[in-house]
Amino acid sequence: MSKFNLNLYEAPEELRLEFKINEFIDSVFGADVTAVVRNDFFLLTKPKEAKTAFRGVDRLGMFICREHEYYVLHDPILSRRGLAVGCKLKEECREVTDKNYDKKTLSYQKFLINFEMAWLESYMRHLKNSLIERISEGSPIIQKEVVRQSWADLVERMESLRQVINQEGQQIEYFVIPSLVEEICSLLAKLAGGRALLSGQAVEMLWIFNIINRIYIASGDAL
Amino acid sequence: MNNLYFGLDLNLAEMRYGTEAAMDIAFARRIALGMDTDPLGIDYYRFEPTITKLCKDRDGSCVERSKLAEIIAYGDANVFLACPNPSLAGGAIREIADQEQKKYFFDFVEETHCTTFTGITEPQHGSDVASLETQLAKIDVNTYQITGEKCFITHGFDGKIGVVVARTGSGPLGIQSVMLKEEDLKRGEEEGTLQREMLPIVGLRGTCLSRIVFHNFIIPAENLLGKHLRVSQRGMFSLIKIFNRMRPCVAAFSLGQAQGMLDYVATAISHLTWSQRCLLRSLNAELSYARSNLYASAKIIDENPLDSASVSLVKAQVTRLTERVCSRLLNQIGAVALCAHPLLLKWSRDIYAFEYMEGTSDMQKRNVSQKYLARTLVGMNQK
Repeated sequence: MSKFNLNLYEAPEELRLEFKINEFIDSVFGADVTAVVRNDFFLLTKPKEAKTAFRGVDRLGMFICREHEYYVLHDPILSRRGLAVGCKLKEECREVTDKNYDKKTLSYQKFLINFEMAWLESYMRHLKNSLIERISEGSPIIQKEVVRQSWADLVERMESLRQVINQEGQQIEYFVIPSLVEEICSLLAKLAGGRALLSGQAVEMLWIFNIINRIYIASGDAL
Repeated sequence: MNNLYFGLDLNLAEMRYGTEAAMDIAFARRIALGMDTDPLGIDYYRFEPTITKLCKDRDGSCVERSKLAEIIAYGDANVFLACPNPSLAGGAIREIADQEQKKYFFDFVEETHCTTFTGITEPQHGSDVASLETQLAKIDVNTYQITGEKCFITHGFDGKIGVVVARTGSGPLGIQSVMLKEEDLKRGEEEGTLQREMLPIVGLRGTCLSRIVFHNFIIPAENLLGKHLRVSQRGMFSLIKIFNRMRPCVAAFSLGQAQGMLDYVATAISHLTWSQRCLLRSLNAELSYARSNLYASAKIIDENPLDSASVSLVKAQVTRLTERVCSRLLNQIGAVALCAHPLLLKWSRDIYAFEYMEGTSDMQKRNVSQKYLARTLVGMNQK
C-alpha cells in the first residue's frame, strides 16, 4: 500500500516516554526499582513490569510489594506505548527508609514536567510547519483568522507553562501545571484536526499527560 | 445502593430512558471494554436485538435516530459506533439514491447486519468538499473508474457496502456520489485497485477509522447515485443536507456518553463528598439543558435539513460540554478514576474523538455565525 502522506508528527528518540522513564528510574533510583509510587498509584513501563518483584519508591523510601499486594490495569493504548497504570493495594514491606527519597522523588516530578514541556514544544514546531503547508479553501490554514487566534492562545499558555517551570530559586507551583498542559494539548489537537487522533499525536499525549499529571503532579503536594 | 451491572445502575438507566432502552444500554455496557480492545469483535454480536434495531432503520426521523444514539451511547458511545447500521451512508442513500438503489442498500444492511462507510475526507483537504481531489472518470457507457485517496473513514476497512464522493469535473456541480457494493469491494481488493487500511487511533476505536486508496478502481455505471436528480440536487447541496441530518446524532451520542459517565461516577464510586455531589448535580443540569437544545435542533432539521445554524451550535456545545464533564469528574476523583476504573480510563480518551466527527467546533461556529448574521442582515434589509 502506498505511504500515508499525512505529514504526521514523529517524536525524536529523546522524546520516547517509556524509554526516558526507564532511563531516569535506573539512573536515579537503581535498575532494580520498578516504579515511583504516589498516593498508592503509579505508572509502569513494560520492561519494568516484566521484573519478578515489584520494588517501588516513594518519598519515604523503598519497599517491596508481593504479587497480590498491587494491581496493574492494562489499557490497549497504554500497552501500545509500553505503559500501564497501577495501584498498591496493601501496606508494603518497607526495605529502606531515607529522607533523601523526598528529593529524589521530587526530581522525578521535575523530570516528567520537563518531558511534557519538551514534547509540547517539539509538536508545536511540527504543527506550525504543517499549518503553513496545508491548503484549505485555496489558502494555507495558518492564514485563517480562527487558526491564528487559536495559535495565539497556544503561545500564551506555553509562555505561562514556561514561566511556571522556570521559576528560579522558587518552588514550582505544581497545581497549575495539569490544567495548563491539558489546555495546551487540547489546543494542539484542535489545530491539528483529525490526524491528532492517530497514535503518537496530540490526543494520545493529551490523554497520557493527563494520566501522568493526575498520578504524579495534581494537588500540588510533593510526592 | 442498587446492584450495578458493569458500573451501570439499571434502575437509573430505566428511569432515564425507559425499560426497552435499558436492555440496549446494558448490551453496550457489557461489551464496552471488549470493543475497545478488539473493535472488529462486534461481528460476534451482530444479531443482537440492539443491532437488529439499528439495521432496520430505513426512514427514521432525525429525532428518533438521535434518541437511539443517546441511549446506546449511555452504555458506551464506542459500541454504538462499532455497531453495524446504515449510518451516514444510509443518510446519503436516503437523500440521493433512486428507489432501486435504496432498496438494494437497505435490504443488504438489514439482511447481512454489516457495517457501512462513507468516503468523503481526503488527506490533503480534510472534509472540505469543494477541494475534493478523488476523480471519477467515465470509461464507457457502462463503466466508471475511481482514483484517489480517502482517510478517516468510519468502517472504511471492514464496511461491506458504502458511499464514496468523488469529482467528475470542476466546481460544486462536479461532485458525484457512488455506491460501492460488496462485490465491487471484493473485486477491487483482488485486483489490487482498492486498498483498505485501519488507522491506529486513540479514541472511539470502534469506528475502525480507515484509509482507502483507489487506483483505477472500476465500478459499474449503475452505482452512480442520483441520476434521476438534477446535477445541483445531487452534488454539494445534498452533502450539506446529509451532514446536517447526521450532526444531531453525533451530538446525541456525545451527550449520552457524558451522561453515562456522570451516572457511573455517581453510582459506582463510593464516598463522594457533599461538594462533589453538588458538582454532579450542576453538570447534570447542564446536560439536561443541552439535551433540550439538541432535540429542538433535531426537530428543526427534520422540518428543514438546510436550516443548520441550531444543529451546528448544538454539536459544538455538546462536544465542549462532554469534554468538560469528563475533565471535571476526573479532576475530582483523581488517579483512582484512572487506575481502578477501566471504563473511566477508556472514556477519558474516547471523548476527545467527538470533536472531529461531522465537522470540528471551529467549523460549526463559523456556520453558526454565517447563518445568524445572514438572518440579521435579511431582517435589516427588510426594515
